Amino acid sequence: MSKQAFKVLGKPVPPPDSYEKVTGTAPYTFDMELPGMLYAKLVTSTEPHARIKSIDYSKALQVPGVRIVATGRDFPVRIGIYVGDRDMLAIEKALWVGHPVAAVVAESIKAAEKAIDLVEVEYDPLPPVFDVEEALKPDAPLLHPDIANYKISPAFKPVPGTNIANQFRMIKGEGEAGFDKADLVIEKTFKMPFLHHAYMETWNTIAHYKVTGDIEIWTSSQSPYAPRYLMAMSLGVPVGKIKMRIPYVGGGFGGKAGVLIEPLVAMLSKKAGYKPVKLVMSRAEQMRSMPVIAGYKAYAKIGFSKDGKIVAYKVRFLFDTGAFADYTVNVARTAGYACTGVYDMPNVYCESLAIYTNKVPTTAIRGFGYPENHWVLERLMDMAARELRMDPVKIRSINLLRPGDPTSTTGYGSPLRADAGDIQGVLKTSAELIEWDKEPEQPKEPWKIRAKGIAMSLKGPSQPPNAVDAAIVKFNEDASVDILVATGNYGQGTVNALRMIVAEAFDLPLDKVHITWMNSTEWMPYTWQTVGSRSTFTVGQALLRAVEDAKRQIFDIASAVLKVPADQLELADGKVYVKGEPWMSIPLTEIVNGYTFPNGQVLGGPIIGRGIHSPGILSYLDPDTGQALPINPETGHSEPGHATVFYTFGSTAVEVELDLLTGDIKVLKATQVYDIGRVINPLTAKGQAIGGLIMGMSRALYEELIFDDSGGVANPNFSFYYVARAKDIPDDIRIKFLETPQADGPFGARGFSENVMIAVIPAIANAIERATGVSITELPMTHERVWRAIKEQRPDLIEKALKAFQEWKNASQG
Amino acid sequence: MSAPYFTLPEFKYVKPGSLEEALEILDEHGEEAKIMNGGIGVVAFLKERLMEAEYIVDIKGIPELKKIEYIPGKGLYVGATTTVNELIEFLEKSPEVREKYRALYEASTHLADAILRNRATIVGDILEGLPYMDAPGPALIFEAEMHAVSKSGERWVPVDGIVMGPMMTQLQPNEIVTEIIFKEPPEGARSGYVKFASRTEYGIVNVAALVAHPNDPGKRVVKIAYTGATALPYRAREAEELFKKPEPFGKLVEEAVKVIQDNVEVLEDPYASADFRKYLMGILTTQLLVKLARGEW
Repeated sequence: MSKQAFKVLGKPVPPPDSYEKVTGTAPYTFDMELPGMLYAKLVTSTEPHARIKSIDYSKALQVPGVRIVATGRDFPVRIGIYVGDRDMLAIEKALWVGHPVAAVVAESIKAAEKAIDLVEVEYDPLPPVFDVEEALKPDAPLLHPDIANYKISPAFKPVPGTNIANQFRMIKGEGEAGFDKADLVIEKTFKMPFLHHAYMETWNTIAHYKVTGDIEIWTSSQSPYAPRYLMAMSLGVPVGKIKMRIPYVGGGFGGKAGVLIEPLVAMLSKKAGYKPVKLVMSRAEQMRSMPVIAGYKAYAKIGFSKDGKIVAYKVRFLFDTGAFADYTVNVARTAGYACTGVYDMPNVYCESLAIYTNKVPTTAIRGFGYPENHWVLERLMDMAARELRMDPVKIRSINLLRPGDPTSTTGYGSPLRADAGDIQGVLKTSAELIEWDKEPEQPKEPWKIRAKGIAMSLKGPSQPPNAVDAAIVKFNEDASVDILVATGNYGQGTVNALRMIVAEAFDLPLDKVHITWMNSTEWMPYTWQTVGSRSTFTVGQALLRAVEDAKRQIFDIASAVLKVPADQLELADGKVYVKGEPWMSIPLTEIVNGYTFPNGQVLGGPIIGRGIHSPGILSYLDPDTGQALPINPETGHSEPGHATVFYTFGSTAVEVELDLLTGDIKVLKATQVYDIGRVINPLTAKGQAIGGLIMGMSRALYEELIFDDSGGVANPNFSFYYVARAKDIPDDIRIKFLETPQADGPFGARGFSENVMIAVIPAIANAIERATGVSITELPMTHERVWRAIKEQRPDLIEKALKAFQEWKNASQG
Repeated sequence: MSAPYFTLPEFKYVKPGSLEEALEILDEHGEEAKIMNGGIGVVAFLKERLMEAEYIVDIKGIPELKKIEYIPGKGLYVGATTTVNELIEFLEKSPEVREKYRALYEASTHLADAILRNRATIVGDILEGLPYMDAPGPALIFEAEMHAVSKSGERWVPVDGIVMGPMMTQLQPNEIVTEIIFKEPPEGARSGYVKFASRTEYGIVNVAALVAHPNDPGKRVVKIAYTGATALPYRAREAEELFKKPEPFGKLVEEAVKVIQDNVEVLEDPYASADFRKYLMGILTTQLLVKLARGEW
């Protein structure tokens, strides 16, 4: 279908929720109050690792308005999505400074905050471990000695008796032996820090455990079904008794996937006498006590032939998961199985460990292992280009995966689909947009240098192979359509894109397709989760099938009324037409609740369409080889198993200015190029590309959680955990989307909203490498870190810059 | 800013309508009463439980504490409750005054953010006493003094030395600062402010400097002050003295930087090492002084 053929797709449509958000009228969980509501507050550990000897809360109970105090003894169950290692309140041991050890429930937040200071916890300190390599030593203190008894998803493999929460290996070709053939071998160690998601709304939950056993929850989760199921499993309550409701959510970035604090608040509600209880996080609590983003150390080695082809690659990621690895095990696993990025490599050995330490726990994050593995690989590509005196665009181009080529691999042995996207085109377009062949104009201060850098990226959703989705479309009396999907709406624009897909498929104007702000397991059909840039692709397909299902019902009625076969009917402009005879039609309004004949008889009833998406081609990856398990022919699929339902290719190129005297890096220009199959909504697509650029820049240059000597987060606020602000955004951002349709994508579309931040981070460091020959391998690239790297690796550059600076200064004499 | 609380501890809030009334309350309650101006510091300190108060005395209802007046030859008077945005607006409407107090203007536009500047005050910023505030540097180079009033009298207190640490000042608990004067800069002076922030919203080195007649040793005046790099606002008086020597400006800048780096005791924290701060003080001071001298700032 050509672009011109669309009535809705490809047009800039503001998401309807924007209006409520910018006028401050959008209700979030934080804003909601229920009659008789009580307020909870957490007491947190002051010790990094300790046995809890006693908790005396008698004084807290004397504060007027305090109803109950709960401790880990009240609810000694563990929760989690992949490795069920999280407790709701510390069970016997405190595992980090900030670990919730007790909860106070009171009639007001004020009383609760007064009471938490009166809870006396006696600790028996244990030796803590803060560093991943220390944690791997045989005599390291163990955080989870009982891990063998935790609930573990089949894709994961903890190593009991160690601090390893998951171990994943991917081997291809001759593995490490492949380095024998290399003309050039580069070995480097890379680091990424712990980060905070920096969503504007913190984790907030209201739970009402009712006397009937029904549990009503309002929560700031990304989507409702996963937290509901995980909560039911850990608490042992029937899943259908839990009504998980999600109002507007202030951002997620992966940090609100899986299960949040819903089980704790529900149990507090029960213990407090079946009263609704609200628990909201301050920013400091969120950053010290709730899951953040894992940091890592990675040992990497890459081998090239002298003509620039990759011959072997080895990387070992040591992810620091903090005290709970829960969701992070899959971030680490994904970094492992997608370690080869966009490149074809004959010999690969990737290992990724998720390792416990006595620090704040971690969880999912936008990009999910890909910003992590690209920071290593895309940096190595530029180091190799420099050593081999090759152009960074060229060395990438000759190593890129070839879609459709059965010898190509995305790392795990499955062929890359032929319609995966124009990977060479993405690289070429990015280079063109930044004017790669044109030298940047140099600033007049000789101690400043401008240079261009480029990086590539790929990203697919990291979902379990059995993650399925459903969608429903139902008609209102005026033949407008309600979309029922459990897809979360926390700023990505996905639900609005789904609305556009339905309007296009039904040939209805946009204002005839309605979405709602409140998401709930009570009225939205199942969706696994809203994560991984997957929903436009998967739920979009489910919706198209729902539209087809509704159309069949509509045509059945119209066929009987117009007395023509259903296959000769078509739906357009809110009417059913006979093909080729447009004068023969019935308005949809006369069909959606059944057709009423002149005598009052009715034919048919309300039109409700349903559709699903079921990713039959996915299977688990063997944790020891990274290879997908063989496919069952019963599913109708025969090719080898895949790890993801799609991959999207991208590239970011930047022009940066480096001040050699201060280590200051300014991003002057940036490109964002992605082959997304089909641009559904150019407005929000552009928004994602800009947002991802800023988030990537922010992670490249500023963001880092800093730990004090006891492993507690020392900067749990946005004054000292700096996130890019308006003044940091480059003036010149060049965005282009390629549209190579993917056959099963809705109108050809694939997801891309995480990919947009991945290549940004290495592209900036690559520009610095090109400008100076200085290799930066640790994030963020702070002034001091950059200054020190230049001083160590190219002291001559600093001397030259200082000399130029002296000359400039002395020019004022006389 | 790491405490978990949403609520403030309990206190009695009073908002006197006159200076007399406010001084009366302070006299009566002594240490138990704390003055709140814009509230940026006080509310945060209360929320963090770093400050306790029986009474919070909001001075924003006292009419004479809000003023901006420039008296040629004497200086710029800024009322205690005048907000930073009000000062910025005044300076933007009076370009001549703005150029006289360029460093103050630049520091004001770097102070917190546009929304907080609707409440933040210059006097409050100085008296908060945290290392990385923006207003103290310009206050030092303009020889600013604060007018402190109590029931028993009034006095002008130099800003240099007024702060002894976070929430600690030379002021008495019964004194209220009514205004601050930024003294008339030397004839022909140019001034500027550099805030060098590195992954926090505060500067790791902030430099305020003033230069008059750089190439005329007889008339030459140079003033330099720092925040962010040091625990307390630091006026580099020894370095300033050097500029009285009859040597070329550029050479003196080099000597001054060395004197500063040799004498100053700088902070070290996770955001910047002491070495890097000292090194940056040299680079940023040189850039600012030379540009001011050349009229390129």
